[in-house]
Amino acid sequence: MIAFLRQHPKALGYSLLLHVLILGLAAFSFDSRDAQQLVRKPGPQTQTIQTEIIDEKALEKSARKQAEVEQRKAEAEKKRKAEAARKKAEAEKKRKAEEARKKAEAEKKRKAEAARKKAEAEKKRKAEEARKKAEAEKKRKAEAARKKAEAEKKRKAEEARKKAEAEKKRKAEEAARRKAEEEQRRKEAELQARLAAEERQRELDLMRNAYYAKIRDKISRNWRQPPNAGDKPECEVRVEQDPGGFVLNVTIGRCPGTREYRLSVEQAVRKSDPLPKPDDPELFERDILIKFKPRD
Amino acid sequence: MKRILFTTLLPLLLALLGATPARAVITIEITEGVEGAIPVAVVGFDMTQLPVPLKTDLASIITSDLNRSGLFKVLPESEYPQRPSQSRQVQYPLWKASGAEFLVIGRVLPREGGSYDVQFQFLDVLKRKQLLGYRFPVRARSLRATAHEISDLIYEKITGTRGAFNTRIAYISVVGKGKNKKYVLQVADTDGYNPQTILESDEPLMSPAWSPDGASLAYVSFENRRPEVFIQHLASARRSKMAGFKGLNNAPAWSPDGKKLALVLSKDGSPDIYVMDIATRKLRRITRHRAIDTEPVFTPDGKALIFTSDRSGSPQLYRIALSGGRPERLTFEGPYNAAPDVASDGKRLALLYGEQGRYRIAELDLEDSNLTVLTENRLDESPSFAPNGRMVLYATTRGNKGVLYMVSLDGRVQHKLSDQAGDVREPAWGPYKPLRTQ
Repeated sequence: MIAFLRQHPKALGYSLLLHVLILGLAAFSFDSRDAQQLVRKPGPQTQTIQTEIIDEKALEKSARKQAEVEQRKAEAEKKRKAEAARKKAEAEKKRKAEEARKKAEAEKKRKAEAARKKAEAEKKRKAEEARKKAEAEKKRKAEAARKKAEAEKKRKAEEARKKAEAEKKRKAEEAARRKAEEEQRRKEAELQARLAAEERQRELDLMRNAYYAKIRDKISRNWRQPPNAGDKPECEVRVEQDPGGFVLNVTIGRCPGTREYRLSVEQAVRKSDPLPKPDDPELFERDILIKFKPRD
Repeated sequence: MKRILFTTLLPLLLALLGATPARAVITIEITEGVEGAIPVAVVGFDMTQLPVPLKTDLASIITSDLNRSGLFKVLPESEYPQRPSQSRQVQYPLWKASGAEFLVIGRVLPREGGSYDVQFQFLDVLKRKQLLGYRFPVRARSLRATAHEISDLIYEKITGTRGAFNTRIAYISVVGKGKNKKYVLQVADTDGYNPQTILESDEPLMSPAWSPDGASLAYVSFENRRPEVFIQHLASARRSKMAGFKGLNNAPAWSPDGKKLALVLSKDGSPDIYVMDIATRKLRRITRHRAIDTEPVFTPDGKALIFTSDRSGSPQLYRIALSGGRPERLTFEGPYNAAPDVASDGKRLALLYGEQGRYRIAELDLEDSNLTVLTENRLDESPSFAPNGRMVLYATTRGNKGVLYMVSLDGRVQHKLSDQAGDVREPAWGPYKPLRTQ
């Protein structure tokens, strides 16, 4: 407060004056506000004067024309009017004094009020300013704190996020790596299986091939083509065999050519009985179509 | 290497074998085989039931026939695992192991009156079943014919074509020398056995020709110092001169119905072909040409003649329809094609093919004009088809002496007939004997 006063010495003066006035006026039972108005410095007063312009010539003329009636009436009127004017002036004077007083008083009161209001406004302003300043300061501080806290929070969140992200990434990488490894293992296993299957297939194919070749060789060995076969047409012979290779049935299919030629293909098959067996029983074929297709 | 072969060839092989899962039946292709005759075993016929064994060895006659056909190869007796005479005695696995695909067994049983029962069975070793089984009541003199008959049945069973073993051949044999020189017309079995003399002459005999019923022979005889055509009935030995015209009377040939003779006559100038109605002896001239037309033979349908003519400058074969028209030349390969005989199927000719001083027997396929030389001799002559068209009988020269040979069209087997007396030429293969009545 002292610091404030120091900064505003006028305020001190006003304050002191105010206090003296308050003490002084207490005796007149004025309320503080009226007192304040009264002690205000009176400003310059402006008086309003009532004027009335009378046309004398017109009056004289009228008076002459109207004669005595008017004379008396005028005299009475003049008397009454003088009286009225005197009373009126007196009332006017009183009213005007009162009015001036009231006006001065109102002015004083207004000025005091204005000064008060100003001081109050000033005070209020200052207080408001101070408040605002304090508030701003507080707000600033709060904001700063909030910001700081927020930043901290944000930082921590970011940190956490980053950490989580890193963790997630790590986990994802780990999972991907595991998955890739697993895929690799699976692929390898698959490849192994495929290779094994291929190997088995190849083995079977070789055995099947060998099986057919054995049959082919045996029948070829036993095929005695008749010397008069001529064109040696293509012949088909259907053979049914049991798993022991024993020929159960021989059916000559499409087979042009001489009877002895047809006979020769049948004999070739019958002579080859039992037919060779496959290395793997899986490859056994119960029905075989033998195509005799001599090369020239 | 084998592995590579297998792996690279595998898809191809599989494709070739048709080994796709979609197909229910796998296919195996056989492209190789050995060309060869059918291995047969002919076991000696059991004669233990006879009081005296026969001198005729039926099995060896059958063996000889089958071998001669070229289609069969009779295994040597030493390789036979057993000597069965009835099918119930046959142990098939043993025979299969021996390599025989077929087996001929039989026995001869005595009959009252000095005749015999010949029983035979033709067995399929691989199928283990009988293909043929017959019993023939025969007299001793028919034993050889019976053996040939058995050969014919076997041949027919395998080929579907009647065998021609039980037929006869005719030929001219020249015996003696100088003043004692004789010409003999003979008839024998197809293996040369049972030769019978039909006619003997001091003058040349030529061109024997069988009548379609096998009962008569036409031939050319020089007994009157010039060639004349005769027909002789074999059983009765009755003969009649058919053509004794001025000039040449040559090369008789029977029509398939046996009612006509084709002849070569030069009575009207150069030798031309005529056809004579045997019953009326009415002649009809078929060819009219300055060149020599000779060696006519009827086609199986009896509607045309095939003959030799040198109208083109060298001997070539022609065909002329009996209804008329121009002769159609059949041979174009080689400078010399003569002595035609027509196979019973009408599709093939046997002929004498001459080139560079060499005369060999050839077969001409009339459908594709393909000529196949069948022999490798220097001087062959007179090819004559067997009635089934599967063999050709011909004469050739061995050491300045004519001998008879047969060549099998089935297997190109050349077979020399058993030695006939003298210098043998101009063979003619006879027709089938009348069908058995069984």
